[in-house]
Amino acid sequence: MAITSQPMQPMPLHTARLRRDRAGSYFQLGSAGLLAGAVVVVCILSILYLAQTGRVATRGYKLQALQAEEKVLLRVAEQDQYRIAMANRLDVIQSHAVTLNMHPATVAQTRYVTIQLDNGPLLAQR
Amino acid sequence: MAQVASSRPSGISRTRINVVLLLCVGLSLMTVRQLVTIQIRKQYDGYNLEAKAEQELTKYVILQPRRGMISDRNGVPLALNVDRDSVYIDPTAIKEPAKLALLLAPILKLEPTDLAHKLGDKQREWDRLARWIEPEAADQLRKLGQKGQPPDGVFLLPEAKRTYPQGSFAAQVVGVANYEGTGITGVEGFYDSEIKGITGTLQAQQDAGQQPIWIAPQQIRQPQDGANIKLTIDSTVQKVAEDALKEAIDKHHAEGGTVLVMEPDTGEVLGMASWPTFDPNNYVDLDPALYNHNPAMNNLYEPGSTFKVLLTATGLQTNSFTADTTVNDVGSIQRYGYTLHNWNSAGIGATNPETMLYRSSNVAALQFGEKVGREKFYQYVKAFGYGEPTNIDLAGEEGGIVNWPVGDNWSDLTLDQNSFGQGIAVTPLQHLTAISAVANGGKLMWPHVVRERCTGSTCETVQPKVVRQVVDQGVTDQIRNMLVKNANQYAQTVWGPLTGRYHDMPLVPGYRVVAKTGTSQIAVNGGYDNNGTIGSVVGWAPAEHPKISVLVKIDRPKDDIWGVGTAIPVYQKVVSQLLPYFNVAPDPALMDPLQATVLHLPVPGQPQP
Repeated sequence: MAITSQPMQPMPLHTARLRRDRAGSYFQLGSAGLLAGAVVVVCILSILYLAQTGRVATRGYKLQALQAEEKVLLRVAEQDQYRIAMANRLDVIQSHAVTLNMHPATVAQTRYVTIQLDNGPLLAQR
Repeated sequence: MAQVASSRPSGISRTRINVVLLLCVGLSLMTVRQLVTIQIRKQYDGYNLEAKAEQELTKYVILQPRRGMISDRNGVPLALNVDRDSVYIDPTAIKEPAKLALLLAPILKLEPTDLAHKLGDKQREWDRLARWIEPEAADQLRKLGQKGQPPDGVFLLPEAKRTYPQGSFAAQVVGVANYEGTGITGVEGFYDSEIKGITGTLQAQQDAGQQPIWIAPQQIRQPQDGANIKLTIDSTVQKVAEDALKEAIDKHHAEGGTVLVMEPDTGEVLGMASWPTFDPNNYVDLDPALYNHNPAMNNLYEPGSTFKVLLTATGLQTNSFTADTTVNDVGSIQRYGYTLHNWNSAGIGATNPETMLYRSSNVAALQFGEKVGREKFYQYVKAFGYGEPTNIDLAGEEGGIVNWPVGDNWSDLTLDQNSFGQGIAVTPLQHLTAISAVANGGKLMWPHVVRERCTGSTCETVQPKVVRQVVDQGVTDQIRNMLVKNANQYAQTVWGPLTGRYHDMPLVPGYRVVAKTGTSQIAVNGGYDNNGTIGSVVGWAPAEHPKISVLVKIDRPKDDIWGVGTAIPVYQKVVSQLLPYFNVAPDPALMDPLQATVLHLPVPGQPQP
């Protein structure tokens, strides 16, 4: 039967204190270490800054593209509005009606009907 | 020591070395000073380099707002903005000007020789060839170059253009905005500050492509687009008025005319047509007197017999006479050394106000005017709004001319003449506003052409305004009945040739309408022009609960000098088309059997087959 033996620690508190004192030395850096650390930190911050700037710039250009697109769409909408207005000219409608052999309703052809609504009678013609 | 002395080059003294060293130190110090100046103090030659660099990069751009749209009361666009390409050139980048000129000339409709000269002028770096070309022409230009771009040295830049899709339709109301985008006449002019909007600004660093650098700080104030204006004008009413007016102008070879249609209860102008008119799209090619002038509110004329309506209202309101009061009309009468007479110099005898209106008696009118008296007469002339602008929301309105009793131009004869509409100058708008007051029960309404103004999503509706109550409802009720009879006598002009019978009948079959005609002489240089007249009519329909009040005025007709012959057919046409449009049903009882026959309608009182 194998027995693992460990010497008895006569002063456990003292040992713990020594261990704690020794642990501090793991984080102790010399001047070269500090410089290297600072360079690493600056690099990381620079990368973060560049990434953020890049993101802002990208979004800016996207926004710019969207604004340009909005301008084009507004222009198209205005052109369409203009075309609709031209098509809705009463003289244009009248000439279309004439070409379709339509003519204004005569007095004899007009019929009036009164529709009873909740808020009063409504007179309409057909 | 001997070793040190031996290492120094012989012949170079210590002093010389020190001088050179001193020079080097001096130069170094100067360099350091300059570096400090540039890098730390950021100054060079008196300039603040940082500020200068920022100034190079930072641009201050004005952001233009969109001019608001003008539409009729139903939203039909009458004025809007459309981007059109303008053609610019950089002659230094054009290799073969003569060849390019031949290609561009037919597209831009320009003379090839002049064009070649412009394209070859290397002294100029930037020039505009054409502004606002049609989209088809722009497409043709793009096909001339590569990759859908115009040829080298030719550029297409979009620019906003104010466009009037309806052309001359309602042009005098809508008005004109000039090429700089400033309204100069009509609604465009009156509401310019609201329609044009508020410019914005952008202060930002920009790259070589004139685009903002987004990571740099920006100061932006967004532009505020102009208000969209909705007019009270109804396109259908306007079309009916314009067509009827143009037909009359052509038929009578008249020099001009006006048809005004108003809603008496609100003062909203539904139609405002005048001749001559113009196309605001081409205003630069026109005489400014044409597009700066709206005859409906700028032309002064003597209202003639149509003014007798207001005389009657004044007399009845002030109890100066009643509907039964009579005066003796002997055809002509002497006053203050002058002979005043009726249009035909024929006497009528005992004449009450109704007969005075029906026979359009000047002699009776002046006697009724004398009964009213100077003080009350002019008190009501003022109350009806004559002699001052109506304050319609259109720029440049005339106020008319009234010779008030306190002025030097007034004499006792003036009152007599004014009683039958002479010696007083009014605008069509002013006169119809007063007539509308008689139509609606006595309220003088503020006439207006704008119904709604919208900025963004916020809209403000223009509310009707009562200027004052001029006469009582009872007075207008009496006048209405008188004027219906009056209108019926005019029916002979329209229906006589169609029915073969010349007697009184409804002017507009199926409806009770009101009308009073006038024939005015034209005042020139303190006298009257014997070579022309103005025929006019005022009225409203239906007689009770009127939907529209109408004024028709035909200037200097050549074939018929009387208002009955020139203006009544226009009035009849406008009213007979608009009453069905406003869903006012005709009453078959208000129809002469002969009219029913002509209109192919069942004859009243006869059994239907």
